[in-house]
Amino acid sequence: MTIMDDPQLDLETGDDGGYHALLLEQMRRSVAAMAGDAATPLRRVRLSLGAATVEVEWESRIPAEPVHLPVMTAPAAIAAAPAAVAPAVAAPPPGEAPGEHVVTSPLVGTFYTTPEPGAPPFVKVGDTVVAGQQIGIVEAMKLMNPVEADRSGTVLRLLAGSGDAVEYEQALIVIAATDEE
Amino acid sequence: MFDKVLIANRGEIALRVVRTCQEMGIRTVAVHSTADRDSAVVRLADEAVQIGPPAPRQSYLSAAAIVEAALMTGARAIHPGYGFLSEDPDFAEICAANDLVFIGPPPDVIAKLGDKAVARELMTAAGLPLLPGSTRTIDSANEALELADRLGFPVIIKAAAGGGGRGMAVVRERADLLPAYQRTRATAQAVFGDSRVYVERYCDRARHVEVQILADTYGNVVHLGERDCSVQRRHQKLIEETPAPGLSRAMMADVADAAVRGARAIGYVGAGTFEFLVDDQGFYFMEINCRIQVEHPVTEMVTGVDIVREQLLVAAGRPLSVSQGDVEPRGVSVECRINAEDPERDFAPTPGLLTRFAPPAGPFVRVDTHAAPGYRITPYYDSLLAKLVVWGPDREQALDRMRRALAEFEIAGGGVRTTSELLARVIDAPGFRNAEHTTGFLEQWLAPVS
Repeated sequence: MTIMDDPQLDLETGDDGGYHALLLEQMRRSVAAMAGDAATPLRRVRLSLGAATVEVEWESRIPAEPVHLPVMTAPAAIAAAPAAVAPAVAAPPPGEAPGEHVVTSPLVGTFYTTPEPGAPPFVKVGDTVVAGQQIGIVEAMKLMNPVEADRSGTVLRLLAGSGDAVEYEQALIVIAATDEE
Repeated sequence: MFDKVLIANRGEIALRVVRTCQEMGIRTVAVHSTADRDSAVVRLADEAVQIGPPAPRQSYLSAAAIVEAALMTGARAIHPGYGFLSEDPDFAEICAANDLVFIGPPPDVIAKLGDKAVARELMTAAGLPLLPGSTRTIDSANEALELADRLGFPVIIKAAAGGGGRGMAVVRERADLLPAYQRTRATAQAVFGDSRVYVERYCDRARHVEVQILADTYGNVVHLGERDCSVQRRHQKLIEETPAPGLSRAMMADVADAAVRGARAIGYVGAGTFEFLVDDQGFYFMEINCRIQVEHPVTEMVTGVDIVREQLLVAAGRPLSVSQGDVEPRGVSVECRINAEDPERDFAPTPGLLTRFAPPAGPFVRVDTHAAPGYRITPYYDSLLAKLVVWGPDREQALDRMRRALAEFEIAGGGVRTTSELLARVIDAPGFRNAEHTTGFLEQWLAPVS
């Protein structure tokens, strides 16, 4: 169960029997899952409950960038968190299986899946997108840069979570392309 | 001290900076273009961020991408190396606005010294001798002609915003002045976005001598002696050495003192280089470079001072680790720049894949390089492949060692040519061996060859 499943949850007050405990448990599990996926030992873990942030640092040879895991993200995004712990050398976008197309980040910055906090995401797994449709935002130097799908198709996977630091050409989403290349 | 530094550069200088950071226990972030994804610095640094495509304008010259990379990795300071953004006052300001330390002089000092006309005025005020010429920029072709007539030919027209040997033209005949003036202005506008030029007397029977300065925020200014960079082709240095051979130690002491005086006058901070021309009449201030220079290793070899370490100390608000009394240069050091260029084809760059790359080793040999077998020389960046640096107790032994090391250097690859053989011939050329060479030496010496 995730905290999103709890209908009694009042996020405005933030005070409710068991909410914080549950939130903490959720964060603990995220860290455990990431630690399991990491290639090197953890150096430091920071949990801050107010903004619901998980910061994890690995031993060097691995990017030590904080991994921000907004607890409100869709499970798919959390599952994709290990993407942020790729080895220091950026892997090229995952090999595109036949018919699959990877949309990559056009610049370095912070990736957002929603137009604003609390708004529904630009795209979800299973959505149909058309070439030129916005699928996210990369914020760089306080400028919001739209990221657009360059092919049409169905969203298969989301590879980067909202708030993730992304580098140039980092894979963001995978589309089952329906148009001719 | 900073716990993490981002290196906003590539190639050998990025590696050079990472190494000193590692020795100081500072974590490092490499930024790289897609072309440099598999580079040595990416492997050696603690973290790496891909910041853009191969074109420098969208990667190594993209202030936004570099600052973002620093913020996302938590780097506290940015070392710009040489070239790219190393002397860009706007970049230094953007760093400051984002609470990042730019490892270099303050932005206003970079801006003043980046304008060579302003730098000349400031140094004149500080009492440094200048070559006869315009102390301000020239506004018309007529003014350029009048001034040239007064100075006598040859003259050199230089872009106020110039650097790296670009945006200058030597004029030997009166008839060539106007076209050269127009051409230099056009080049300056195209390359530096600033068409202003100034004119000064040109002397090609001179030596290019520069002084390495270190200055901290506590008012300490130290010089590490001079470097002679007179072996040049089209204002590009090929061989550098220290001390300057065949010049009087008394004059070199005066040149160093002048550089220290100039650095104090402008409130210089960090590592910098004051360039002078030296002829039999005396020495003349040319320009100041606000960055670490390609040829800094020769100074390190004779003084034992790690210049990058001093840059980091100063940027972190610490005093220099050396005082003037600690600086006692010993012996002679020479550097050869091994470029992936074809001397037979007017030094055209030769991109290609290195199949063999075996640098020399042995006593008192240092090779600063980012290359290795399997390294691809791309056309996107400069052609510097390796810096071969040697030390010897005297110049003769240093040059003999350089000859041996050059012969040992194995570089091969499809289509790849290097300046290595040419450098070996220069090392043994009598004019160079006897230290009778000037800045015009190499082009005269090449003339019968090419």
